[in-house]
Amino acid sequence: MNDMYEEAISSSIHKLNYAYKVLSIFLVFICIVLTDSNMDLFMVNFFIFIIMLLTDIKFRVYLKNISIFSVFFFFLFFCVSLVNLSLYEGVFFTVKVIDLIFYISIVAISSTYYHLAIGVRNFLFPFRYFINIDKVSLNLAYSIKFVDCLYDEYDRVHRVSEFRGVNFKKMGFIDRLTNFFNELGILVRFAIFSLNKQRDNVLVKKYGIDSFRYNYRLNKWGKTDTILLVINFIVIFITFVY
Amino acid sequence: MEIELSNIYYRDKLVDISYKFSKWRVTSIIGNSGSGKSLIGYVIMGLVKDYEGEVIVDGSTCYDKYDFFKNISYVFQKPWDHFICKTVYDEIAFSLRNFKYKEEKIDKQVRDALKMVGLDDNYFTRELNTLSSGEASRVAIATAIATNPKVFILDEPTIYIDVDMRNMLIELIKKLKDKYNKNVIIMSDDMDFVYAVSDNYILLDKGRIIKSGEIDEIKRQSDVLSSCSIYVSKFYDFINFVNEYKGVNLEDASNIDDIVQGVIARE
Amino acid sequence: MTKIINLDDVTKVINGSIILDKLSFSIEKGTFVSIVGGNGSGKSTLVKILAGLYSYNGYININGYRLDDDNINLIRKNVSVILSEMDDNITMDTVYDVLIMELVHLGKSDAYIRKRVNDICNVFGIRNILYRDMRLISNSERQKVMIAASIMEVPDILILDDYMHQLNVKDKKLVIDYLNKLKKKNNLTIIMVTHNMEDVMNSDRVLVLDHGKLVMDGTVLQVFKKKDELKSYGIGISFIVDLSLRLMDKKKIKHIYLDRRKLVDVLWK
Repeated sequence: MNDMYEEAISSSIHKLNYAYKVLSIFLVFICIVLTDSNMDLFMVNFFIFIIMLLTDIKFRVYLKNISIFSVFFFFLFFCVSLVNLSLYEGVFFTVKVIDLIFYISIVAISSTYYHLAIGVRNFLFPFRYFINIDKVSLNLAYSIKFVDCLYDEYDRVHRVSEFRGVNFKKMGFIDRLTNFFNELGILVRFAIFSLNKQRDNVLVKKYGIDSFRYNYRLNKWGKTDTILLVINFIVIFITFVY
Repeated sequence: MEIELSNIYYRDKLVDISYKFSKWRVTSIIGNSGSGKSLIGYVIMGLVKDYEGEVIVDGSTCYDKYDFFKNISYVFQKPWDHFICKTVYDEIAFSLRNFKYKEEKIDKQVRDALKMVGLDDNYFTRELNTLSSGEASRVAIATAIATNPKVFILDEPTIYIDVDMRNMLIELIKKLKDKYNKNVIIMSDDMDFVYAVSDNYILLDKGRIIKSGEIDEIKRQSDVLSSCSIYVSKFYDFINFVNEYKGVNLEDASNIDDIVQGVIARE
Repeated sequence: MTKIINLDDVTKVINGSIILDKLSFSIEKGTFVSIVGGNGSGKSTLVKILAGLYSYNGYININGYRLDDDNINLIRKNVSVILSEMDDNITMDTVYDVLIMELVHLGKSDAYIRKRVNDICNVFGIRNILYRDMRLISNSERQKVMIAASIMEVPDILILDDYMHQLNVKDKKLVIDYLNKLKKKNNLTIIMVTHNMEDVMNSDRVLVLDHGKLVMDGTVLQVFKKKDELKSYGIGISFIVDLSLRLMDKKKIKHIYLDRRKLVDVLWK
């Protein structure tokens, strides 16, 4: 979240337990996989919408965040519609994917890279004898945070482009589309550059990711975490049954 | 192009800011960190939108954004907030292409701009991500001068640059003002730099304008600057120290050579 | 004095350009070393290599361990590094959370943590912002807090990459005084990369880099004396040394003064 010009937001979602946040991505993923009826879809959307409201971040921001992937969504829509020879199937599947990415962006926007890395590590802690949880946590957090960084760069590049003479008002739809494609490579590049700096800052920590202990006084598991976890499981159960 | 701020309020960070940035002058906005210096730049450029008050450009509050941006260049404090292209050449050429310069001219413009900041043609193909902070600052400044705008806003330009570039920047700003009649607004608390280039100043503290006027006025008022936690320039710090410690008044001195001359002349 | 950092023939090439060129030097424990250089001299790259973020050719030894992938976690536990882009990682935590993070990692008791936070609040004057969000404090306060956080558990080595430029007058004095105190009391080794020549005056030793080579190495006095050579590298000198040199040139004083009080005493008896 580019806080340069916006007020620093701190909602109940921002303050959730890091491991819960990562776990919730996984649980929402399961919900979405199990979603096979309109009722399920409505419920999952409703859940994500409530979480989004709780973050106190404007809907406009999320909309812009998702719009970066809009071309990907259209592509998905056409492919699925064609394969199933049904517009309904196309829409259904695409909405599910949008929901997943939307939820990931909610978690990414309301967490720093460091939080996510710790969250992933704590979540994977039981598997520490099978995989290198330090490396995996840094990389997985990178992927999650990437969604947010991409948006930050998109926002920044757009603001600065206006300063440099790009007149968005006069651009037609085709112009905007070509502009967007040209930008995409640059945006990814800048997002990677920015995220690498954040990762460097985590790596140089004296008592870094490898010595982060789960049970301590920072970032406790709280009531909200438990409530949301229960709701997660209820939603999974309902999507499974219906 | 004349820019005027009229009763700007922004949350609790800017309080009743009213100032007219005179044409063909270098105005420095001085203040400690947190005083709101950068925010004034953000308000002028429209990076923050929910402020109260008005930004008046050439006497009018309704101005075309595109024309406005064509005539003003803003250099961010962190050079990487600036960059939107892949290579140095593209970065500088981006603005030129958008403002419809001819392709043949663009090559020369880029070269000239880089020369003004002490970078040679080898930098054409350098990728922006590989630049050091000093080089990045220089490229950001080059991008600003390439489009030949009427107004420059420089947000803390001296943080990452070395002595060579600093002297170059001082010369550059003087030239922009004297030879090209530009309007330059600088946010800085590097007082030595501010004294070397500015005509006017605005002193900000906690979002309010405490004082403003011609730069010579504030040079001697170290107590005012200290009370705002701003570094007094090294030179005037010394002058004040000599005054307090030995009671010797070096009022006539305006630079280090004058002090030396003064010591020689005594004997 | 023991040498805590050893560099021998260290070279770093990025995209075909030589960023560091056969760099060799040692740093002794408990010293305050400034690293200065013009733009593009390789200062930040050197810091990143010492922080274990970049690979290198040559030999580097920190605190008795060879700097490589096997030892990096061990080395990091005694070295605090503050990169110049630390501000890009603005956390959503409060000042308090940032301060106690390391101590909590180490499993220190609540009492110890309370005491340590109390000490730092007294020294740095940050009690009034202790529970504020890191994003809502001023730049000077933020840098102060980040530096404080890196020395809550005093390391063997503290490396700062151009991380004092936002500090205002008072805060900078607080930080430097405290670091000097730790240097004397805990034998802290401080490495400061900076552009600010007045800050350099606080150090015991200055290393000057130019295009990746170590070109000057000595005390502040030894290095600042060579004003013209420094100028050719794009580096200036502090005001008092500059004044001293000019007066020495006109034969008004006999040697360089680092302390302005002494210089003024001599000039205006």
